[in-house]
Amino acid sequence: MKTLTLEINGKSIEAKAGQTVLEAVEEHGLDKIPTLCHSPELKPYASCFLCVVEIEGRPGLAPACATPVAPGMKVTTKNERIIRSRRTALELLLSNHYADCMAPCMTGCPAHVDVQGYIALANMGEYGKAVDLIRETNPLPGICGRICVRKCEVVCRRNDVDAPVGINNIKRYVTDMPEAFDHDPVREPSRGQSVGIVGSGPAGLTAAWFLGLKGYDPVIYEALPGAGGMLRYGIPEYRLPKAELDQEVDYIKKAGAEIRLNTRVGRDVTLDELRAEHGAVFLAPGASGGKGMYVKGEDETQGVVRGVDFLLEKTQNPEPMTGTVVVIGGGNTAVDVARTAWRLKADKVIVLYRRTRAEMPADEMEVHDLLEEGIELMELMAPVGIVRHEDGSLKALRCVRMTLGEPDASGRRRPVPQEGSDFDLPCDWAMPSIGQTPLVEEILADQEAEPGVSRWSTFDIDTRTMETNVDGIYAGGDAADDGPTVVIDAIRDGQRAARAIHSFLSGEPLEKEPFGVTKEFWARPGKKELGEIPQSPRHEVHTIPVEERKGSFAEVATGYHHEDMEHEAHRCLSCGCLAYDWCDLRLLAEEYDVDMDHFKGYVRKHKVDDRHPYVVYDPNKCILCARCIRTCERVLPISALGLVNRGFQAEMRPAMNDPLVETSCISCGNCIDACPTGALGAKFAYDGRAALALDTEKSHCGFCSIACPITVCSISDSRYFMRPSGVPGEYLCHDGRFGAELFIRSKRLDGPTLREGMEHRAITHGEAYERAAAGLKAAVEKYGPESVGVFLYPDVSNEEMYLAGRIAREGLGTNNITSIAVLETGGTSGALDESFGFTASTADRAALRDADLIIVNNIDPQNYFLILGTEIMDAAKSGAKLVVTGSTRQALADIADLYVDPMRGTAARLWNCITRTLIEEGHFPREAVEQVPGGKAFLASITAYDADTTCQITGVEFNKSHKAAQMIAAAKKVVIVHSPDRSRDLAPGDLQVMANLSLLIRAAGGESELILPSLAANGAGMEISGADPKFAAGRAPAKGLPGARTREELFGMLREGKIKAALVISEDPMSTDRVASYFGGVEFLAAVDWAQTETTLFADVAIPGSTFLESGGTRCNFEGKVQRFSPAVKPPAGAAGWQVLAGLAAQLGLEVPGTVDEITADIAEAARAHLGPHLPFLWNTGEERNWDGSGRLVVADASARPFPRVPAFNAAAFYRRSVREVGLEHFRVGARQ
Amino acid sequence: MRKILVGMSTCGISAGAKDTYDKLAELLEGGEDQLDITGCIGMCFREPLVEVREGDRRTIFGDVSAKKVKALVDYLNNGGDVPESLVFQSDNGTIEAGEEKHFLEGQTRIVLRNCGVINPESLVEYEAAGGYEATRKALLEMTPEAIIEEMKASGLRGRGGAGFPTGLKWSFAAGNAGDVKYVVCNADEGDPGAFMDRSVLEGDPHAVLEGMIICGKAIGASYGYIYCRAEYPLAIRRLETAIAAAREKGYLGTNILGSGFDFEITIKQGAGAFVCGEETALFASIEGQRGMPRIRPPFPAESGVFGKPTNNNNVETYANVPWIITNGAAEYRKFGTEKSPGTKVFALAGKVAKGGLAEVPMGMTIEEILFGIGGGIKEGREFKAVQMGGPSGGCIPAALKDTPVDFENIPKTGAIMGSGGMVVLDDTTCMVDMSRFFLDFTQDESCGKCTFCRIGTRRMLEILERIVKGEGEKEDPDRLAELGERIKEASLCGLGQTAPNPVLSTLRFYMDEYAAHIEQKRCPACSCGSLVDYVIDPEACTGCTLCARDCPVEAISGVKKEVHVVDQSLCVKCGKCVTSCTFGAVLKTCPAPEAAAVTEEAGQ
Repeated sequence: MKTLTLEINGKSIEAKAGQTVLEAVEEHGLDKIPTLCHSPELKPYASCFLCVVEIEGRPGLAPACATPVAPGMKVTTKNERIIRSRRTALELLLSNHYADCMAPCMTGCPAHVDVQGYIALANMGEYGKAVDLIRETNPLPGICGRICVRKCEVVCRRNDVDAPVGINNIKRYVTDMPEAFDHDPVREPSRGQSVGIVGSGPAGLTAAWFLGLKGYDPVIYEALPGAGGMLRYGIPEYRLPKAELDQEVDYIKKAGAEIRLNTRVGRDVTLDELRAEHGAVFLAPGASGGKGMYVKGEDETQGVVRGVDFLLEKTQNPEPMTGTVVVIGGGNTAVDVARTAWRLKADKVIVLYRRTRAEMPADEMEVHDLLEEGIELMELMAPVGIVRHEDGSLKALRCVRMTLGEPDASGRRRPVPQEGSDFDLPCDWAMPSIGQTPLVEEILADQEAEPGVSRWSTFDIDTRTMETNVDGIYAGGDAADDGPTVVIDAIRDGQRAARAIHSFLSGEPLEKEPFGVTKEFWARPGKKELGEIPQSPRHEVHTIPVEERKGSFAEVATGYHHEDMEHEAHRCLSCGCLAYDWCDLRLLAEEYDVDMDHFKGYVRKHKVDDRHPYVVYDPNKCILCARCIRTCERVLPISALGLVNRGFQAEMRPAMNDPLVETSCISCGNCIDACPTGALGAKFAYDGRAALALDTEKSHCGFCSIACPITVCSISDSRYFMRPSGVPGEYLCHDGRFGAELFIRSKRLDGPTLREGMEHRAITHGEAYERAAAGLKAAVEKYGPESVGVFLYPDVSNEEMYLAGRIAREGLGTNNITSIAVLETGGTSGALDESFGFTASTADRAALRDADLIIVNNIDPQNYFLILGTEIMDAAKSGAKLVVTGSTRQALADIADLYVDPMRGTAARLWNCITRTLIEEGHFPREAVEQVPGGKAFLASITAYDADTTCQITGVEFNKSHKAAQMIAAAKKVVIVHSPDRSRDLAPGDLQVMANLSLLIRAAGGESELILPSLAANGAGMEISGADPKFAAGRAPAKGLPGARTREELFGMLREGKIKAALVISEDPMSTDRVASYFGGVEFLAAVDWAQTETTLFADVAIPGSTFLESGGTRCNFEGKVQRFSPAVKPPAGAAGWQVLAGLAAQLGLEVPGTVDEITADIAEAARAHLGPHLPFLWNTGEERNWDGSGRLVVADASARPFPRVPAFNAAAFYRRSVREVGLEHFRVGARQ
Repeated sequence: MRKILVGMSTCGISAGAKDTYDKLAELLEGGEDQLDITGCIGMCFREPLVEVREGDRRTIFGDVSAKKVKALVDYLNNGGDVPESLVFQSDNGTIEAGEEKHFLEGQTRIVLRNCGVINPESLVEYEAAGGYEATRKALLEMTPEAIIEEMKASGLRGRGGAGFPTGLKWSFAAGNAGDVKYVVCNADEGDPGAFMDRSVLEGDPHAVLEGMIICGKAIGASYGYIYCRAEYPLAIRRLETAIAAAREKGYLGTNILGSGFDFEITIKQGAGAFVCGEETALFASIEGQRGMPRIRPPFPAESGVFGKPTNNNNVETYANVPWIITNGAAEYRKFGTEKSPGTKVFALAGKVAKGGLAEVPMGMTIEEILFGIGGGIKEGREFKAVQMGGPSGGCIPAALKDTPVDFENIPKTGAIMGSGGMVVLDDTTCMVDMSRFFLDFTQDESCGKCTFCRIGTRRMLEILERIVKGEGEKEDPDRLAELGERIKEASLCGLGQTAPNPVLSTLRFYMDEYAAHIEQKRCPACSCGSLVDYVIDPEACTGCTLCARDCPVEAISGVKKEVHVVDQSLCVKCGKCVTSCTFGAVLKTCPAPEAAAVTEEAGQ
């Protein structure tokens, strides 16, 4: 390869000619240039302009993705100008990005709890994961689930539909589940550094939690005898049970926090001592001082008690009380005080508030309960004086009536006293509950460290980091900044402090706040946008009856029932972007410190298109990188996607602006994976839409023999989906991308069953093996081994086939093993052995790349082998000629140089005629043909395929077949792609006919390969794994056991009803009458399948098997490569298919390996022993094929005879066909948005 | 025998030339006079034009609407006073008399040599005027190298705007091996106010064909595309006629003139996307793709239409070619300047007194063109600036009117040569609003591919829109300048790279106007609707009540026969009163300068 020298960032490098600057920079690891529109497998496009670099001598900035390297070029990839340009590009893109990176509930929550995420997990039943997700930002989910002020619900979009989602109640629901505390938090390794925390309230606990998880040793100093601060001493038991608090505090301790109770800083230990002992100190002492009424004499009057002090005392000593209690205030504390007094049986409880109920800051629900409990609320009244008994105790509270005047700074109308409206309210207790104040003097007295304090007695801090002016001292919670607030604000403070302290102690940069846009940046979406969403009433928590509350501190709210939780979870609109974690636009915006305000302007708003069963398109998030369009162009002969309109109005839209579902779209989903933002998204086969953490596992797809590499992404063992490998240019077809819906949505067998009449009784696995073995054995004894058969679908793994083969041969003593589906398609044992000496593809797909002619016979790649089709299209685009034969026109025919449409079942005859033409016209010289073994007989036979008769039989005019012959004659390297098990155009002898053609091209001096993609995922593995009457494992000749010697013989036995007992694995012969009739005389049937099928329903013993995502093991792909499969998710019934068969084999007295890898090794070893090390299957060891290309010309049966349409013999095959031909609604995922 | 010609290009037809022609045909029927059509003569301001040719004497009459035809015919037949404007009269090429004598006197016509002279639909006339001589010479007497050398020697530079040396461009395409190459003629003239190419195509289509054939021979291409916008139906029709005639005559097809050289030309109609004037987008459109640019390199000479080596020039460039081949490079160099030889066709539009087409030698100053040929500013108003290069160009202020118009000097002013549009602005033109107009155009016409062009121009437009509404912010000029620079340096094609030019050039010369809009909320040109006050001149008002009755918001009050008053707090600036008033009593004014002074004080 030609290279050239250029300079990048002052460094001289050698680059390949034709490379782009971006490629050269990446190859030499010189920088990470950002891009949104480029991907290595696509041609340069240059639209996003993020990859700009400076090239000396050029006036503007050049897009690195599309600029080829040139000798002597001097490139700079990073400087102020470049960064500024990239930032501007991002700011412009985001200025028209009407989207929510995070849901409003998440941004609205001070602690940024991922609400959408935990609701989705709750909806899936993943309660433990839901709670863990909350704990990532908030370590007090159970507490918040009860008493949070729910800022999330205030901003919930459903407010504009009906009412907010019951977010907090869902939180409580999941935290109340046993999974919430059944596992311990995971700490990072200890750093050996401690942090001192003053106060065990929510701020202190939160800081301790996050620091503990990071590997620090937080020590909390708590003045009172119990941990929790206001949570324990300010919020009464009936709202927040102490047991709940204790449980969460204990959990935080498990994360490494130590709590020193009864240790008051300033009395028992000093701040300076804390500084000396710990690497950093976080001050969160709270605000425990109650404010008074500012009424003369209140402090000296017996019976006037501050609300907070009352609650503190009654928490420790809940003695009943008597008399009339007047509580002054309208906040939650006032309500708590009143309801506590009521519970302690005070004779009368009155809440006095200077505004009206509507202005009360207390939680609406709490006020409702208060009134329900019979407590009196006196609105528009304020205390102005105290009336005392002679003994100095309280007699009455002098009050004044108020009216509401002009709104004040808080936006609420200011209460104005009505002159002369004074009156005395007789009472025994007056409890001002109108606010608290921090008590910080004690902590600061006589200390060297002097953190700044505001005039409200709070610590002055930088609210981003919670730093005080003293190095290493941080402050938060009620005692910092603007004073007392709510629990969730304290949690945020603790979170921020922990982050800053970590940065301070470790020297690592302070973690950036995540970047996110939200629709509210432009305008709240409102009713207009959300108007079409159907209304659905909000469910509230259940409460205990009022009569049960008096005199009791039992928790009033009992939470949600399961139906309520589910109902509310379904009400969630899932506003946040599912691409949050990996959206390149968002991540780059974060990296480049984008300022959203910079180019704020008109934003285009679009409706989300969710009409497609699998793809959701949100044009608001589209950045017009056209990666989807260009990917679609690579996958389909005619792209289903395109661009419409111009300028600012330009949009990515499906071709002709039709709904995507009505275009040529084949639902392969590759556009989704090409999208760098969340504009194109996938619908899932399960409820719950959120950006959730996924476990990923590499494996291969088991839907067909292409066996594409996949990534299995799972949230749990029942919620997962498949994605491409992640290697650019490695695509998937519909089945690979969305097929997991089959496994998730099908009726699965959840345990072995025994059929008793029409009833299926659950039994254990052990019992099932016993019953199955006994039933089969009994038949062997009664009718002889030749009457028993083992049948399996050719998509099960090699290991399952191997075990099935041994069960047949060693366990039951019969050679009767194969697949009924294969028999139905005329599959013969060792079909190509006579031609090539083996039966498999002669090359892998790489052969397509340098072919100059590709013959596609009986395959419809865009429908069934998309990925192979893409490679064929690539080859055709780079110059290979293409001949397509098939009775039904298919998409590939559109780009073919020649499309030939013989009648069904006549292709073999057509190709023989073409061969004859090539011989007659001298392109295949007779002498050369005669040299090939079998050549003479072949020459004699081929004369039968004259043009006229062939034309009559096939319906193909001679000029077309002649053109095909000419194209073959002109080609140097011909690759023939032929599907051996696609029944549509299958013809007897066609495999041999294709093999002959290939051998003749070679004999005539050309190159030729035969590639055999099979619809069944492991059709190629049957013989090698021993699932064939003729071959034992490793393709060893089968021993002379009773039963059939070949597939054909076994087919005959089946049709004659000679099979009396059978083990059927992942095959569903009972689904069609014709095939079911073969089983008319069967007396015992055992079935293993992951899905419930007609056959498992009919079977005497049915045992759940596993899907290819659950079982592990290997399959042989169409190229002859043995591909590994990972057990990415667990089979729902516990045992993988191979384990079931191993159990059954053991029951029959066989010794079988204990792991799937050992079985694989056994097969590989047997294959090497019988086939030599190389041919025809490659066991992932990098071997080369070393076939010399020799073979024998076989006179094939080329009579024209179409095969019957083969019924789908198992659930996966049925699914594949249904999705394409019926559009089976059952599997289409829900359209709920 | 007299020959009577009617100027029948689009400008003429829209002025009524078709009716004039029909009337002439009716009146001249049976007579000896021969009636015919011709292309655009350039004097659009006097259309419809009728030319009377007797021997070498040409007399052109202007403003000949159909109803004036009879008088003209009478005059021609019987003499007497000239009934119509005698635009000019020439004899044997010498211009003798006429009102618009100057208009043509100042010009040098190479490209327009046949426009308005011959019948564009007649190959015979074209041949009679020396047509296809150049083709004959190039095909039979010259080697490709010699043609390219001649072109290089002529110094002809691309007339599409960028001014790339044509000979050099041809040599690149010639130098790239390829079994198939293409010659492309860009006839997708899209700048607002530009109509040079249309006039050439309508007036002298064969000249363009000849240029392409010669180019084909030079670079080794035997296929040509003319990419013409569909909005030019007459040009397309005349091209079709010309191609058919040339093919019949053997100037197109196989073995042209026995030279062994084959050449074919196909017309591709563009659907009116401005961006398709960008060559890579134009190629994509020819290929049947969405018209979107792609990055260069590879340059068209290497990979153009269908990935084959391609030479792309515009109409005017090709129209120069036959003249150069026939008369030689040395002759061509006699016109124009050292670095910008030859002539250039300009379309004069806007507030110029005599709008039309003018072809002048390169290096003539703006003043000479606008005042010498264009007759100065309409209604004698003050010359403010000339906008050159359309949406990609910029404004040259009056102060720089002595700038020579060539490829060297125009870019120094921040404007560009462009394809030849000259939009003349007077003191009633608001420069901010004009920038807004051009940006509105480009942001609409952007293909939408690149981030900066798609969204950046939109944001610039929004800023300009708020400035003209009087809602501009102090930082807006800086924002415009900053964003403009970013867009220029990070866009794929010329459209994006030049889109901010109108704004940047006005920011450079007319910052005071921006400042007036933003800080004083006034439009010095009294042009921006929202910033203008409508007042009634008490001297002129007759109290007819018409304005008050027409005012949609009842902002005008007054009793019958008494002076009316506009209540500025109610006025919505719709301007209806101006049109209602038959006495010219409603005046547009900028707010009083005192208001500005107050604002300034308040600011301090």
